[in-house]
Amino acid sequence: MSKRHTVTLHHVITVYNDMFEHMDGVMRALSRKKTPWKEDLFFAVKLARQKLSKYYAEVTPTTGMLLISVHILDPFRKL
Amino acid sequence: MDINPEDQTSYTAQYQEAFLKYVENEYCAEHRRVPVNKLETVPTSNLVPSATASGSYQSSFDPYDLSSDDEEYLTPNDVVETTPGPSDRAARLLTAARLYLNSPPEAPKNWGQINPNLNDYHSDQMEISSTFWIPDITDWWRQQEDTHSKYADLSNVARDIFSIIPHGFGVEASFSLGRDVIGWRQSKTTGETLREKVVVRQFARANNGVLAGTDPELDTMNTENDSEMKKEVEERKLHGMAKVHDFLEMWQGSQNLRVTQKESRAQNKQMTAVGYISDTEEIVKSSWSLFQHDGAAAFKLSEGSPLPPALSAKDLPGGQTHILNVRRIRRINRHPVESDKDSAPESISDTEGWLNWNGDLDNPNDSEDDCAADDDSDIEHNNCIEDPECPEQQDVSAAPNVPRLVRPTRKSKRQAEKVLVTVNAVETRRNKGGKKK
Repeated sequence: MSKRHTVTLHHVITVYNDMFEHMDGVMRALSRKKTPWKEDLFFAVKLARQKLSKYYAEVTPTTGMLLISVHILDPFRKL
Repeated sequence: MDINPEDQTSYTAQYQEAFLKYVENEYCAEHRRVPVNKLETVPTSNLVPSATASGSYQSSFDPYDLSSDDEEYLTPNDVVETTPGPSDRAARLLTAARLYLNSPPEAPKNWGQINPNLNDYHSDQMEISSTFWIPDITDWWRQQEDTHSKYADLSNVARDIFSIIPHGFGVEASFSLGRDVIGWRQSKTTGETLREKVVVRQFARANNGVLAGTDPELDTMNTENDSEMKKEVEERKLHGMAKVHDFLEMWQGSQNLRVTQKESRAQNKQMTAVGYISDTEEIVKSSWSLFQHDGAAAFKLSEGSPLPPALSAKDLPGGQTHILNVRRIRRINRHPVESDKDSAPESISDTEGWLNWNGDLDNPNDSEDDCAADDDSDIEHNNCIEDPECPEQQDVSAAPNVPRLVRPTRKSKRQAEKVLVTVNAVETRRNKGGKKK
C-alpha cells in the first residue's frame, strides 16, 4: 500500500475483510486436522484473528465516518 | 455516526444513512451559510438560468467551496446570486448522494479510461495483487467532475475525503519494526523479548535516539560506570608506565655493562703490558733441551730402519712382539734340513732382513727362559685379541658368522705368512747352492 501513488484509503476495510475471510478459510481447513504443526498453525491463525478483530473494532470509533465514507465513495464497490 | 450493532437492519443500510447524515451536516449546512449577493448588483449577462445551473454553475466557483471556510474566496464580489439557492444545492447534493448509493457499482469495463488489459479486476476480488489497486477512483471522480455528470456535486465530497492520508511513514515503520528487531534467523526469540526491544526502541525514538546508557541523566548506573571507566584508564596508564620503567631499567643496565667492559678492557691492557704469556714468544724461546727425550738417537735409529722411528724405538711398549717374531724365524732357520751353520747367517735374504729389522736386539743365544718370556709375551699378545679395545679383534669379529666354517684367526694368519716367507727363503738358498755346485 505504501508503494501506491494514488488513493488507497478506500482499500482499508476491503483489506480487513479479505484478511478476515482468509483467516476464516484457513481455520475451517485446519479445524479438524490433528497433525501437530497444523494444530499449531490453527492456534496461531486463531490468535491472529483475535488480534485483527481487536484492531478492526477500534477502526470505526477512531476514524469515525472516514473509512465508511471512502468505502461508500468507491464507485466500483460502494456498499 | 449512529450505528447500532444490535439493530437488525443491515450494516449497509445503517452506513448509508450515516453517510447521508454526514453529507447533510458537513456540506449542506456549510452551503447554507454561504452569503448570497443581491440580485440588483449582478449584471444581466452573468445571469444563468437555474435550470442549467445544475450543470455549469460551478464554473464560476472554486470546486472546494463546499468544504472550505474561506468565505471571501467563496463569495467573490463580482459573483451574483446566479447559482441556485443554498437549499437547492443542499437538496441537490443529497439527491445526488442518494442516487449514488442506490446505483449499482460501476464496472471497470464500462469505464472508458480504464486499461482494457486490467479488466480482470473482478475476476478475483479476494486476491490482493497489483491489479487490486486498479482502477484509480480519483480518475473516475475527476471524469465525473469534468463531464458535469449527476455526481458532479458529490465529486467535491469525494475530493475532500480522499485527500486525507490515512497512513504515514510512522505507521509503516511501526509495522516494520518487528522485522527490524528480529531477523529471519531469530526464531527462538520470545514475544516478551520482542516487546521489550520494541519498547526500548520506541523510548529511544521518543528521546531523539538517546538511550539510558548514553544519556547521563537517564542512566542510573552512571556513577558506577564512571568509576569503572576511571579504573580502566588508570590501569592503562599504569601498564604503560610499567613498560617505560622496564625500558629505562634495561637501558640503564646496558649502560652499566658498557662502563664495566671499558674498565675491564683497560685492566687487560695493563696486565698485557706487565707480561702476558704470548704464543709467539713461547715458540721462539723454546729449545730442544727442555724436552726429556732422546731426540737425536731416535732419529738415528729411524734412518737405518724402513719402519717408522716410533716403531724402532727401544722404549716402545710393544717391542716384545717384534722380538718374538725374530725368535720364531730363528727357530725356522734351525730346521734340520737347513742346518748349515756357515751359510745360515749369510743366507738371510732381504725379506728375512726386513723381518729381522730389530735383529740386533734379538740374541740368537737366548736362553730358554728368554724364550719362555717371549712365549709369555706372545700369550699376552694373544690375549689382546680378546681385548675389546683392540682394533684387530673388531676386524675378526666383523667376519660373517657362518656355521661350521673354520675362520682363520690372526695368529694362524701370521703363522701362515711366516711359513710362506721361510719357504721362499729356503728356495732362494737352494737356488744359490745349486749355482755354487
